[in-house]
Amino acid sequence: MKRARVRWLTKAEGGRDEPPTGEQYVTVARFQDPAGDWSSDGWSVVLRFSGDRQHAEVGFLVPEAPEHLLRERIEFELYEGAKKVAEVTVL
Amino acid sequence: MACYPACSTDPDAAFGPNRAAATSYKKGYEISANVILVAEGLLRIGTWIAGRGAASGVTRLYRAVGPAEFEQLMKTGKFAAGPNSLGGKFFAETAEHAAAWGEKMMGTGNFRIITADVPTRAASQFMRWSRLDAIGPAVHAELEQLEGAIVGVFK
Repeated sequence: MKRARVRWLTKAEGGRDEPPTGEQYVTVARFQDPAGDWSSDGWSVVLRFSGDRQHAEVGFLVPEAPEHLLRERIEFELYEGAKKVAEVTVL
Repeated sequence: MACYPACSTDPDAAFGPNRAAATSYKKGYEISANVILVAEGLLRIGTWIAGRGAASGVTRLYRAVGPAEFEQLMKTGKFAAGPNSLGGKFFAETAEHAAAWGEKMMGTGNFRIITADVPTRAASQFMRWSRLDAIGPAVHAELEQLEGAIVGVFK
């Protein structure tokens, strides 16, 4: 798991009404990976919160996922279906 | 004669003094025209029914759910946003794949598999990944897209 910063899109930006409230949140990530096609080969990420919703431990749901995509300073997006809900930066 | 009444040939004139023959011809023509109209109508109804049949197909999807969502689904029969849930729901296209996601997210024995039968026309609008998490195909449906879904228990 990597430490990450999370910016939740506001409802006006098309995001959620409010950030998730539980300790764990799982959804699909979209990386800026020119070699990947997220709709044909997508990956779920797990966010674990210990305090505020703007920071989380982040990792892939399955070990088969390309771990190199979660390297330091990389940015990716979280989607709920077709809806972008957050931008994540690995710290 | 065969073009009556579209052409200018008047059966009364064509048959001359034989009015019975003219009347008989006109009646025959009207019956033929009505038969053709009825046949066309039946053909259109058949096409409409066939179209409805194709559109009314049902797609069965599978989802691993935890105890709280399972209880909520059994009570209401409808999908709803939970306290930490997404605005929509992810589904697998097979029970085996749903179980694989259930194992990864909730652990063995901590989930049930439910089914959702949705109109194929609606299911074709869902966001779809041909392969997610190296497990298999997955779809995401917004809650309003699931309003007509019929929920069942697979396991």
